[in-house]
Formats: sequence, C-alpha cells, structure tokens
Amino acid sequence: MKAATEEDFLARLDEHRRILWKVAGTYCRGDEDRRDLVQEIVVQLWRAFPRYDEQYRFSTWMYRIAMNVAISFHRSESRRTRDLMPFDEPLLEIAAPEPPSDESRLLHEWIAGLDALNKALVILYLDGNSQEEIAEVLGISATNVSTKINRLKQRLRRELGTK
Amino acid sequence: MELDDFKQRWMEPDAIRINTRAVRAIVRAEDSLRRHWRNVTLELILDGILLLFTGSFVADHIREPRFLLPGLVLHLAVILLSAPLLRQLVLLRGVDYAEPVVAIRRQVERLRIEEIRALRWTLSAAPLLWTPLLIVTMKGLLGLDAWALLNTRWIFANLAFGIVFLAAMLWASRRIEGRWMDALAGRSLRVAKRHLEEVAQFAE
Repeated sequence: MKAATEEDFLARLDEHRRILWKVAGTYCRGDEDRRDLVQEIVVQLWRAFPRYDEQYRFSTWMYRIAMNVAISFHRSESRRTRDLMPFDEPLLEIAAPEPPSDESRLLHEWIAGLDALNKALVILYLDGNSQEEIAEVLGISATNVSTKINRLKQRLRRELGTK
Repeated sequence: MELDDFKQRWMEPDAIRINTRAVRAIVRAEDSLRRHWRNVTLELILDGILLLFTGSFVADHIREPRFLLPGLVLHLAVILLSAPLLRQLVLLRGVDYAEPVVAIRRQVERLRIEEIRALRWTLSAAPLLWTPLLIVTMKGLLGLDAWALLNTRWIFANLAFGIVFLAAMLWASRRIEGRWMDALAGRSLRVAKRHLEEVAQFAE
C-alpha cells in the first residue's frame, strides 16, 4: 500500500515537475540554495500527501505547498539550510540550459526584486493559470488578483519599459 | 517591455527531469526537518523544570527576603521567557503548507515576530539574571549561602556590571549589525512587523 502511494506520489511529482523548477528558480538565485529548496519542498509535499484531497487539482495543492515552503525558506534561509540532511544528488536534473536572452534576464531580475507574495502571483500568472486558480492558491479574491496583475504590468512597463 | 510577451517564453518546456532515485531516498528519510519544532519543545521542557525549581525555592524561602527576592526574579524571568516559546509552539503546530499562500505567510511572519521577541527577551535578561541565578543555584542545589560566602559588595558589583553590560550591548546593537544585535536593537522586529503589514495590504 505504501509502495503504491510512493509510486503515485512520484508520478504526480514528475507530471508537475515544472512547478518545482519555476518556484525554486524564482525564490533562490544560487544553485545550492535552489537544490536545498527543491529538497525541502519535496519533503513537505510527501509529508502532506496522505492528506491530499482528490477533489482539488493536484497543481493547486502543489503550488500552495511549494510557494509556502519557498517563502518560509526564503525568510530563514541560513538557519534552514543547516537543518537539511546532507544529500548531494539534485532532485531535479536539467539538460544543458540555453543561455537566457537579455530580455529574459531582465525579467528574471525584475521578478527577483519583487516581494515574496508578488513573486508568487507572477509565477502563477506566467504559468498560465486563470484568475480563479491564482485566487485559490493565494487565498485572495479573483478581483484582487486582477487588480494586482494590472498593477504589476504597469510597474513592469514603468521600470523596464525603456530597456 | 510587457509581462504577457514573456508568457510564451516562460511556458516553453524546460528540459528537466525528476531524479526518481534521489526523491525515493529523500521521502524514505524525511524526518530531518523537524528540528525547529523539537528545539522549541525542548526549551519549554527545560523552562518547566526551571519553573518548578524556582517555584519550590521561593516557597522554601518565603520568610527570607535575601533569597526570596532573587528567587522571585528568576521565577518571573522563566515565566516571561516561556510565554513567547509557548506561543511559537502553538503557531508552529498550526502551520499547514497546503493552506492558501497568504494565510501561511501571515502565520510565518507571526511566528517570526514571536521568535524575535523571545530572543530579545533572552538577550536583555541574561546579563541581569546572572547574579540571582548564582544566589539561587548555590542555595538551592548546594545549600550554600552566597550572601555569607561571597562579599555583599561583590554581589552588588556583579549586578551593577550586568546593568552596565546590558547598556553597552544596547548601545553597540545600534551600531553593529547581526542576528543578535538586530534583535536587541529591535531592527528585526520592525522588519518582521513591516512584512506582516505587507501581507495585510496584499490581502486587501
């Protein structure tokens, strides 16, 4: 039974591995921090998996956990990394990433300068989630999501518009 | 530059894959991250023992002001230092990462504020508690009278040194940065409170 649960967990994790990659990549700059964060997210996902309710989308549940862990991790990075078990193998492997374009680099730098909650909002928006889905993950109203996205778009135009 | 222009590029599939073997190893040894919870619990157990010890010391020396006073100071200090820990434990137990992000962020910031308050109390109280701790420990554990064995002037000098030391630490904390100094000067508390306000504004 436990093996079946583990297989199910691994299959779902694999299907939504992009969430891990995007969240860790947005909240951490260095490779080592990113690897530690992915590890912590996977541990928390596994711990919460027995309580996962099938009536909700797996991605919504995974976004919530990944972002909550990332935000907590981000706020107490130095202490947390010391608490992680030593584990050298990365949980996510990437095949020879292409160097980012200047525009992509600028956008990533801009996102890195946002506060933790706006970062979460941008990830969810760029990942193509609807306003209702974003609202469900963040726990705010869909109208609020729409307002905040518009403000972020204006801010991006203002700050990077001429670059 | 438009946010929507990046959507396509952002959503392009990345050549990533899950290292299944590593994930299996992690999930089979997943209990390594409960240290914070464990540390707070251990501190509370220790505080409970100290509370019993100082409480019984106070009761035993109720008619001896020279022991009663340091005993009461310590007893009160243990109560004041345990309160934020207890609140931390309650908050920690309430954290469910599957809850909406804004709610968890609020909880995490509250937890952080409690942590900083506990650290600030501990750092501020430590230099002043040394003398009462010496008097109570000597009497309570060894049956020795510190007032008689040590010079009274020496005891008051220690107390005065504690006050001067604390004042010096507070002065230094306004000039030097670092985890302890930031907590002592109230900088980290201000930052944590600002973060909590940001969360409230985000949810509006």
